Amino acid sequence: MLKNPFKRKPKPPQVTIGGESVLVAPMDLEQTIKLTLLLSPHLAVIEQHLPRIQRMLKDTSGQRPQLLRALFATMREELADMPGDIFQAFAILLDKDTEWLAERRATATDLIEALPVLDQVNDFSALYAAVGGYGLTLRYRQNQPETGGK
Amino acid sequence: MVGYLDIIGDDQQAAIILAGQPVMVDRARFGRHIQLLKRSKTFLDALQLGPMAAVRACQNYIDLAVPDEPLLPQASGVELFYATGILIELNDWRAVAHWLDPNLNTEQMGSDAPAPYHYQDRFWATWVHKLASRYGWSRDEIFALWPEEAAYYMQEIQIAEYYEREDDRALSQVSYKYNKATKKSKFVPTPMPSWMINQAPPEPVRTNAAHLPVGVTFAEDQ
Repeated sequence: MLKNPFKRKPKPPQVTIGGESVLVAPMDLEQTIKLTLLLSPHLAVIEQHLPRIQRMLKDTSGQRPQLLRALFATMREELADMPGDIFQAFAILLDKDTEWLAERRATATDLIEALPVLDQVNDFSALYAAVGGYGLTLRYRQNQPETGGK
Repeated sequence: MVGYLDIIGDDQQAAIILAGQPVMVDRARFGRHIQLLKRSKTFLDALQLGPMAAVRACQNYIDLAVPDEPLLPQASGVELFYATGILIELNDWRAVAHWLDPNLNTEQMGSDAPAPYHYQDRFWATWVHKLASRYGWSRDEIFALWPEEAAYYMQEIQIAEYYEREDDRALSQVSYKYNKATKKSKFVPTPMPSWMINQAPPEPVRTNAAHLPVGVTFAEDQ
């Protein structure tokens, strides 16, 4: 059988949401800035508390999950808006409405599995570096009160 | 401290990624630099206002910083957003001349109300006015300078103006104050701007040993 002389076009990246295949395209500038401003307060919370969480996991070798739950309980107010905003962030990344995601009954597994493809298309490390460079997380960190004792 | 000869060197570029391709961008000269300063401030302020204002401001900045770049329409949002940060850093001041340093300018800059003949961006118009008056350059020649180069020339002009004023004033009786008690005249030099005066080093703060922390301290991220 002769080989097809025409080069195959690479398949566009796609993810599966609620059983439906969705093509992933790079975000435009408006989507990028909307995503950045939406997630900056939560990135500030993560940056502020991540060293403490990592130290706790290291000291307990991950064997004391109740300590982690207790820490998250003290952060309940700070984390209140995070799930909704992250759901909206996925909608922006997929260029869909949140209603569309809800109708497809997008599961947490769908969204987590979509992350590597979304990262490959949009380069999250560059986005995170830009967020830090513009001082967006620093602004929120300076406005946050200390929680959960040292 | 970046010196004059470092500033006028030619290798002032930065690399950005557009549509996956590296693009070298030249640093803006004085004319475009002052416009970019204004647009970068608009963009950074707009990031606090909301996404739509920030998008418009970001587009405005990139259109001026990278004019006529064919890859711009194909670049992704993340590339443009990241590139804007690199370009803002590229086109920022690399050195602050003494006369512009807010730490060295301790005089009050006049009353809060602007003069009746004030207009927006008058500060930059005075640069063009002084450089053109002193050196006979055109506006295009002035706008082709490096930003710090223009600032250094402005500093030299102001230093020369001070000493010329001092020479003129020293020849008149205005600079001699008569003391009726001693019946002698004393020379009063022309007041020098604070940035021209050697700044005394700050006095060390002496702390009572009993108030110093005791023990070994760690930073939180260690």
